[in-house]
Amino acid sequence: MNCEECKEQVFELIERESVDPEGVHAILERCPECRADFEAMKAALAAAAQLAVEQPPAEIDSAILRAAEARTEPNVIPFRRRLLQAPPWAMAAVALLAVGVGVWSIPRTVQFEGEVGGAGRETKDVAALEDAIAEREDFDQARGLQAKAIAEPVAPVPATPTDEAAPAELENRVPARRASRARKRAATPRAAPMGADSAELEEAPSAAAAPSVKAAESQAASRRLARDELDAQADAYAGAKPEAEPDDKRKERAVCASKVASFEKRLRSERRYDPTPEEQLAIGRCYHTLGDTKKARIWLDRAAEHGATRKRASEALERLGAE
Amino acid sequence: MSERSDEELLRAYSDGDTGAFESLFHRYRTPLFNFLWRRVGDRGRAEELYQETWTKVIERAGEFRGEAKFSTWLYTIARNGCIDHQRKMKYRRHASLDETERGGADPKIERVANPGPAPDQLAGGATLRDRIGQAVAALPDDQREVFLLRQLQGLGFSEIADIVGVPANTVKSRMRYALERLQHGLDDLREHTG
Repeated sequence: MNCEECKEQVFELIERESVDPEGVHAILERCPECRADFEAMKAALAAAAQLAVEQPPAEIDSAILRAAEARTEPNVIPFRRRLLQAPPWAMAAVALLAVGVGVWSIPRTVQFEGEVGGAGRETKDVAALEDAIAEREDFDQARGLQAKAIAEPVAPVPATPTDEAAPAELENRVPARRASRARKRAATPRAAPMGADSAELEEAPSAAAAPSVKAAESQAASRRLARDELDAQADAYAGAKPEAEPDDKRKERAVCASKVASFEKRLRSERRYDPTPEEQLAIGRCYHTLGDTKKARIWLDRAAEHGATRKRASEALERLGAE
Repeated sequence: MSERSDEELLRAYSDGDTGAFESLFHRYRTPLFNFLWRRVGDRGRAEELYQETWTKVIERAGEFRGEAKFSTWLYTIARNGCIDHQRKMKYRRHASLDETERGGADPKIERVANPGPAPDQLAGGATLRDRIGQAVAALPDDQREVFLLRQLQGLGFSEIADIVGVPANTVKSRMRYALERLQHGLDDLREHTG
């Protein structure tokens, strides 16, 4: 080993990684220059050990630990909390939807009480009404036949097989009529179901029973509409509530929250801080992700003033405007 | 009871043990912060990068497969953050004394006459620590990061090689050059202070 090789090995010797420690020691013993290098290197390492060590800010540590804790919490937030946490625009949308459904349902209810007609959405309800009417008719007919049988028990007319079979026959006729109505409904084009149904309703033979049946029908229809309305409202809430956010979305929000916090901190602490167009664009997008459209617009507008970021910022602004 | 390894702690955290993360965090918080601070040379930026690094660790904890050591993974994330930051700073086109001239190996600061410690520093008793800090700040990036990883976290040369993506022998050379530069810097101090 020569002095040059020794110099290269001095550091490794100190770090106990020398491939030939004996060879280095031998050189160090006989070469004062190498010995001086060795001592200088040791002194440098000793000095480096005195490098000042700073502690990270406690508030950042707390924020990190909170984030770590939040990561292990289950995603599902209680419905009431989610509702309270929902952004104002979502609440407004839900309210608007609920009012819309309410307003829309009023004329529909009136239609059922009066003349049935209009859009095809209620086909199902009308079909149910039809069934109710038919059942009522069948019931009335059966009751009529039974009443007749009771009223004329002493009549010397022998019981015919037809009369004895009447209730059973009626029972058989009910499904048959239902099937016939179902066929009719299937054959009726969806675009104009109400006309056909209303004609059928008009043809109802039991004129005496019609008013009470109609009242019952309208009550049933109202109940169904009210239930539909509640379902629609529940659906609207379900649509508005922040259903367990996908993982990547959550990550994006976390990253954005961190970026925005750092950015705002820097903006406060550095008077001369002038974000680059790229930074302006990035922070604008982050504000958008976090739902702060006002700040998002401010920074995206600024980014749009620069040629390098104009196009992307304009696109982001368009997306922001579309929302 | 033997202390749990970093990798075990991270796995436990992935399974929902927040306490495991806390233990891991306390093992690395100080050296990581100092690495970032000395690496970027600005406390505010270091704080941002420190938070970003831990945020990424939290987000990606479930993806850690244990193929590398946790420390390697952590410092790779931190170093990438520093590189991204430096890349962003380049857009600002602010001439920095740490930058090297095109085709030159030494940063500009190396070619500026060394004024030694300022008189007020000497009069005010600038500490040896401050001077060491300045000497470390004056190191080229590649030497500084190796020096910091070795000095602050006590990482092995092969691990540092994995983090910075160069052979272990290159890491050793960079460390040796860094120490030689520090040595010169401290000699200047001795000359000025007598």
